[in-house]
Amino acid sequence: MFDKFRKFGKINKNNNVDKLVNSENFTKIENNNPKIVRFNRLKMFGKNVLKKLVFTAIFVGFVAVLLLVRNFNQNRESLAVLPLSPPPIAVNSTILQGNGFVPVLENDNFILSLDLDSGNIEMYDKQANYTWRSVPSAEEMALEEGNQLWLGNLQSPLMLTITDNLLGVSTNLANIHNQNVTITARLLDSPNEQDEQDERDEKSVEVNFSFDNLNIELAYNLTLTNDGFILEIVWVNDNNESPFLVDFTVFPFMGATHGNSEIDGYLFLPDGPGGLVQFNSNRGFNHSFIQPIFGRDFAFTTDSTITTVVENGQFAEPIVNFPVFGINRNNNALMAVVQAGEADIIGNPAMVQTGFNSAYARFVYRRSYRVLTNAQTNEGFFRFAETPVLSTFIDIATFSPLATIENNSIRYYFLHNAGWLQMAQNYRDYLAERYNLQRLQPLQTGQTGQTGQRIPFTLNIIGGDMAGSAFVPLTTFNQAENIASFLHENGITNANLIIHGWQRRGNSVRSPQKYPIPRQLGGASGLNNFMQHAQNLGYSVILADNFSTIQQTGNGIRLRRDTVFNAQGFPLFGGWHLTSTASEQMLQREQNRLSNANGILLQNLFALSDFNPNEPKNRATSMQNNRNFVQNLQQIIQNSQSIQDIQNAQNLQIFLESPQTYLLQNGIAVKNMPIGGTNLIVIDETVPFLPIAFHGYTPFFGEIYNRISSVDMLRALAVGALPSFELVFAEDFRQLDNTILFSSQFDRRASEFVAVYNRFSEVYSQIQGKIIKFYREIDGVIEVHFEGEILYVNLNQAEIMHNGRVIPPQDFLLIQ
Amino acid sequence: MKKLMFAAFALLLFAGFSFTDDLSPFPIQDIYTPLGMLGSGLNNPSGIFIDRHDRIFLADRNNNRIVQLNRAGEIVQEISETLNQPEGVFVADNGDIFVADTGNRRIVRFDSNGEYIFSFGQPDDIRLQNTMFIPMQVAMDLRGNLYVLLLGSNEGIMVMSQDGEFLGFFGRNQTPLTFTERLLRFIYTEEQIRTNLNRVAPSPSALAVAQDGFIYTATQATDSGQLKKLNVNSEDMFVNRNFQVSQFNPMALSALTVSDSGVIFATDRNNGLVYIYNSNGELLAAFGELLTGGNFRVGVFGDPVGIAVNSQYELFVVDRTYNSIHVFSPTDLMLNLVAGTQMNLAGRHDYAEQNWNNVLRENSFIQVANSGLGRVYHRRGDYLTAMQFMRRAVNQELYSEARWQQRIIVIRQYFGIFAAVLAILAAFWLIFAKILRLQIVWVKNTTNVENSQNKNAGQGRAILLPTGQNSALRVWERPGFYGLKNFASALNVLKSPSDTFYGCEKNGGVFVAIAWLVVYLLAAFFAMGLTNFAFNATGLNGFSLGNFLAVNLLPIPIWVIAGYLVGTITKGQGKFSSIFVSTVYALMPLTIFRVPLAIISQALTLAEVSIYLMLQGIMWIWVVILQFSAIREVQGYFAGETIKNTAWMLFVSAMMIVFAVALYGVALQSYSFLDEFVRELIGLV
Repeated sequence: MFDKFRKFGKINKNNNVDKLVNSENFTKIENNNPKIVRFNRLKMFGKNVLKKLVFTAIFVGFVAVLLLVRNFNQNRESLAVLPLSPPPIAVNSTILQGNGFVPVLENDNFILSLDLDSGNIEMYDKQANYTWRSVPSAEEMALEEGNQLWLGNLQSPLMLTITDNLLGVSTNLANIHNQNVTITARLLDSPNEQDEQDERDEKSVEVNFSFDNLNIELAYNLTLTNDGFILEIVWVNDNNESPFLVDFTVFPFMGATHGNSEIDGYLFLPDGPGGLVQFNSNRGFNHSFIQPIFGRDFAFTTDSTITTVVENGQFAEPIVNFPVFGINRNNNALMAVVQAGEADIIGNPAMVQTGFNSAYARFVYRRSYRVLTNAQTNEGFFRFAETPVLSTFIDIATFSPLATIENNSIRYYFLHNAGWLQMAQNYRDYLAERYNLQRLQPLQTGQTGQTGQRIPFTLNIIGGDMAGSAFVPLTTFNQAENIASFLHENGITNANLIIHGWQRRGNSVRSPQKYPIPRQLGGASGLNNFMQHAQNLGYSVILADNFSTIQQTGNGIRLRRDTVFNAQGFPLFGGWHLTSTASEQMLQREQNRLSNANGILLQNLFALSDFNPNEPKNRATSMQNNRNFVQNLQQIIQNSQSIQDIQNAQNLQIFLESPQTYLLQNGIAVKNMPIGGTNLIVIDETVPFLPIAFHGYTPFFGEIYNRISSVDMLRALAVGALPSFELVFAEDFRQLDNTILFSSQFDRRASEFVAVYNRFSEVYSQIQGKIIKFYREIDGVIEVHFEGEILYVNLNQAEIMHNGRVIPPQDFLLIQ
Repeated sequence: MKKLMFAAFALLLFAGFSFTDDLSPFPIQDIYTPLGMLGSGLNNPSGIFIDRHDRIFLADRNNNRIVQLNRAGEIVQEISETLNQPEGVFVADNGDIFVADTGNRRIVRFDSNGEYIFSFGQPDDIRLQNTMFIPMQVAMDLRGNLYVLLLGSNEGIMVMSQDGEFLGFFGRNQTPLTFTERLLRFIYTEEQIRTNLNRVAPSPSALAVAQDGFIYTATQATDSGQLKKLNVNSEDMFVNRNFQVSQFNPMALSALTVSDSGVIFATDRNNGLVYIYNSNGELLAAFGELLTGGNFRVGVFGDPVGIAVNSQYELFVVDRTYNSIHVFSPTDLMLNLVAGTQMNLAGRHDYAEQNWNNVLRENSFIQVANSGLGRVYHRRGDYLTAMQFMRRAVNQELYSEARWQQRIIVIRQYFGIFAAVLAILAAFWLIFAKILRLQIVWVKNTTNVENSQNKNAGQGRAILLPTGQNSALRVWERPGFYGLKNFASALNVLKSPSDTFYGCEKNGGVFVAIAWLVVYLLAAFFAMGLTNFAFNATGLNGFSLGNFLAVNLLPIPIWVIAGYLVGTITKGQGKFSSIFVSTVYALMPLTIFRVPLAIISQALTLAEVSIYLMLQGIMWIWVVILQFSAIREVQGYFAGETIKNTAWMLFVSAMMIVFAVALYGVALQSYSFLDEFVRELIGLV
């Protein structure tokens, strides 16, 4: 082919055609010679055709773009939602009439009074002889020097954020004092949804707010329980016209305490394992705590710089794992659990927002998000979503709602002689009741600790990873067998072996291309042999796997059909998440390959809204789907196990990466329980609220031993966070793509790990399945009371005398 | 690969980074634990100083005062007398407090009780006509001279006596000229140079005087010498080194402190990091995060303007964004890291060993620990172990040093055996070569009856072979093995290039060339793996096929196409195939000698790097000569033409690459434009 060109070139050169073309003679010939004229015409025609083609192409392109945009719009149209219908007025309802506070509900412990003029409430605790108010008392209000807007907010049971334009970012605050509002209160004989679990009373009170000039309606319902009340938002609607509702808070200043008052106490906020903000601690930082429950919804996070997946078991930002906040006031405590609804938990130290210390949950009606216009430069503009987060998406084929939505609700607890510890204990009971959790069986510990049952030795083993385009085997299945044998020889009778990086490309697996299992590790048969070997030794094997995110398409996964879309109508930018259906399908496809495992470590499981037109859903639905997914997976694992295996595995089939409380059920363990706080400067003190709420019901682990200091290990012990270790067989100083190895080489560390396990396992074994009754840390000494045992942990470098007993430096002591 | 890795970790909650030898960061566990924020009621705090008794002094700028804080953050002493926006504070060993009273443009001295002693402003000196005396920081050295950091002073640090007498300037930063500026210097007139090329030295941003008598400065917005360790003669012990960490934003060191043991701590306001250097300026670790948005956390830095460390290595970072001080306590890892490196520097290697082992027990990746331990073993004479640790530390220099020592030992130990083996081999050669009739022969095709049809008359090759008539080894002489024969004959290019290039594309020459190309790639691959660690630290780690082919294979087709294109417009006679074959043949020296050279490199150390480089140079020059000869032969050029056309070929190759890059860029741009357009449209509807 090239030779032909070359010949042509040569001829050109030899015949001096160039000269001819440029000479004046040629023009003359052109004019006279009919052949040339014809050729010229042809040329003109060609040019015209070309021109036409170009114009046609541009036109077609333009039309295509328009069609594309239209098509996207249609997608968005199909996301249209079923308008929520107002709740039916109960048959046995009576409209309350009168002025001022009227007692409306009463049970053995509480009297609830309602202000018929404003919708504010007072909750009288009979036993403590103490009144909780939804707005500050007159004495405390006298201390406040706020502006008119905030004085209004402080005395309003409702605080709304509204916006005139969904495409803007400017918002206004509305309350019952700066708007025209009609308030109607009704007494209902039976609540809308009879729920036996909640121990609710039959009677409830419903208050309806109609903001006439805003065209916004909102109604809450209150029902008394034994320890407080349940607040339910039974109706909220902005009629989808300007001004739009952005978010709303009911009782924002419930329990709020003025910074200058004599009242002592703190705010409790769900930071890390739990954080306190002391009333008198504002040091002029001027910062609030504002965090969405269960982290950001990535469907509304269109920021190309933000990763939306977990890497190495670590997430890009700390998230709120439990929807709880509380206020402690002079030994009385209020705790609130957000039972349902998309909300941000907010804590304001005094002098940040107002002069009051306040904590509340702000329900989101429309999330704002950024329309990303350039993913490379991360440019974009903010707007509010058209679709309210509460919406029920309709199946456009059948016009039926895709899911029923639980009403936003908050359960309030009013406790006396209580602080964060009692809050934690109440939350523990709440979780056990709501998710039907069973207490863990205490272990039959022998006299010496050697003969009795011990907690499992939990070991993370990394199979392999990529270094550039090369696969680096770190631990082959054969070597993993050796590790198991080593543990057995060292007297360990009970172990969880969590295998990471066992799939194609190891830890850098590009889902859904997970298989085949690398032959460098031993392939599928090698893995099976290893599992057999470990199970014969009485150990359970847990495989780390991910059914939620993908790195590439293929294997029956299509990007537009099977992944979660963001509010802008595109697959997520910082990592693709599968829709619930696609996750389930992946599990169905792969379940046979997992059948020999005793458990699965589930990675990357997030609750996200989804704007994929095939499967639109809000976050609440997504959470429900995640729960179902976990249950299905658990069923699959259980079905494939013999009774022998189940005993070995302590009935733990699912390991979660983080303590997402909405996924709790029996048979679940949590791999990364936060022990320390997240260093937010608004938080004054970190307390082990979540570990205390979990202990005795759900096993949980602290950070891997390789990565923590000795003090961190002791802190983990004090809250009962189980130890776990990490080993690889190969040399561990290589730079790998996706694996963080610190010091984890088998030769170097295995014996040390066994020694550490032996040192701690006795205490862990004795406190297994026992709830924490008391917890206190003073001067680096932690005192924890379990049912029957007291544990002292000394974090200091010096030994401590305690009640005539010596606790060596950086050591612990367990007393029966 | 490293970039990718970092991208994956950049957002993680790891507070700590360690660094490779080329200053690439990788995550490690906490080296400092955030304890909390210190101080209340502060307003734009600025300089911080911790004296020998661990007392904390802070210049609370907008409150116009100097405060002394206790460890709990309570104010125990307050000096507000006549101060106006003070930015710097320094406490002498006798307890006297020196304040850079910025707003009043003077230095004030207080006694330890906060009683005013005296103050002085701008010294009356003819040399200071153009200097504005706006002191930002002040420090005193061991001889009692004061060092004053002035706002925007490009003369450097002002040195003054304790009485306020001007002694001179110190530690002036350099003003490096860029290449264009150098060029412009030739063109511009005196006047233009004065007005347009008037480069002023960047002024230092921070100042610290250490116990060892050295004065440390930090400078922002400079490409080298960000951190300087100056002796009394104003010589930089760090020789204007570049401290920029790769993959981070350009560093901007805003504050600086030096511990009593000589460890340097510096804050970087562009990256939100605290760097920790040993007294040799080696980066030990870094930690911290940059404040973006509203995540106000301890250890997430907004605008760090002051830093101080106490005797327990607790760290205090003043942050204006928070109006407060971040406090951190060191972890065991940090303490061991610092102790290890300082022991190494002090030559107390035995003490260092324990520290380094502790560090590596927690994290076997940390390179400074590996090289530190390598030094310990080196000093002890255990060179093999030292080599092992240096390899882990990717420290080619010290690795090579240990290897040098080890080689001496090996040679000393095995010299006798080595000599004996050589002697025996020589004897074998003499005896058995006769018997087997092995000898180097020059095989001419014409001498071979079976190959009489071969048109490559005149070709020959030098090979070692048994000359026995019926030797089974002479397979290439048989019919059906022409391929092998042609393959081997390509080696002739080393001996008589012109003959080989002539008509090289005939007789399946293309296939032979492809075969040699494969050999060439294999050789390149193996050479990569076999080369001594001292010369090539990467080796096959992070090998990527794409990169490998882009470097080793891609230039060949580009060169061939360029050759062909140039050939067509000049009077070249070369066909496409002949250009391809000759190009591949001309690479023969690389193909043949790369692997042996790699093996030879194993016996060399960095001390003999010149030998290695020379051999490599010869190889490459040979390739260039062969390429040249190939072009001349294949295209039938004269020597002069060849030079001209080779230049053209280079130009065409470059253009091809430029064009490909441009095309890619345009495609990317138009895609992102369309993408952006659609997104914006959708966002609006």
